[in-house]
Amino acid sequence: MRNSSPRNSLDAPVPAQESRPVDVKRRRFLFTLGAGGAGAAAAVAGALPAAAAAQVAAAPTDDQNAAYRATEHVRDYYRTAKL
Amino acid sequence: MVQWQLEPEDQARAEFYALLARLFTGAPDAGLLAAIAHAPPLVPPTHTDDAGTEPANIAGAWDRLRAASAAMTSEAAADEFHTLFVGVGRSEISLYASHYLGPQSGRPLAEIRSALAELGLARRPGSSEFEDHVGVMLETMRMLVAGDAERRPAAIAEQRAFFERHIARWVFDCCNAIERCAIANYYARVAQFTGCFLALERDSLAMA
Repeated sequence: MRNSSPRNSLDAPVPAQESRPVDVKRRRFLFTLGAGGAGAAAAVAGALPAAAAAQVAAAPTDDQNAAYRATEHVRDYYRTAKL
Repeated sequence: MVQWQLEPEDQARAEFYALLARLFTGAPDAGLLAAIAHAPPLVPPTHTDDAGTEPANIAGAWDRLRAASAAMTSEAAADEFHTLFVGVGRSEISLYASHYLGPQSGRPLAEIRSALAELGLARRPGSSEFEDHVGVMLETMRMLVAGDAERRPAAIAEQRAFFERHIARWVFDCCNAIERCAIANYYARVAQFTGCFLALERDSLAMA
């Protein structure tokens, strides 16, 4: 098998696509960001807010937040774009 | 917080998405400016057939953003953010998909809402942004790439579908508008890096 990961543990998701040749090409393409990036992104990650401060989150199951508060935030661009 | 084990490339993608979502949601504070300024450079690709491509361009754009972050104060960044992006009908630059796509492209806000609902996501209570804000889109990509406590990282096909449908059609126009804006200074560098990063994303997702 060409799967590069011998692990198959529960905490290590191994995408099915990983073993395909196209992903070797894609990973090389992204080398600048990742393995070749020497942690450039990781260096700033510590200064970012925790996920709790992010804009989106898992939707609550009771769906009460589906009623967004558009009236508080109506902007001109939005009015014109919708009509 | 659950940390899925990701490939280095995907970990970096998630972190850059998080950084850019943060920068377009509000001006950087002093700590974030310092963190960017002191971050290491990106290493341009050594493969000759990659020369001149986005992987090559993004290293330079990152260098310029690092330099700008070293020179910028948080007060000046806050002023610039407010002037560029804040103000009802009076901001210089819109960060919303609806502005760029227009009525002929359907209803971007309704589409992104239904896409988020399908993903089991919603705007966090208290968030003041519409869902078609670039920061919300970038944050959604981060969650698709990295996963979270309730979901595994999304398959590349799902990432690509979201990116192509909700981001690629307008975000480059937005970045170009910021870069061209005469009063953009720090955010011109942010926009340039964002454009390079998202072009890299577009091309790499297209390969998968």
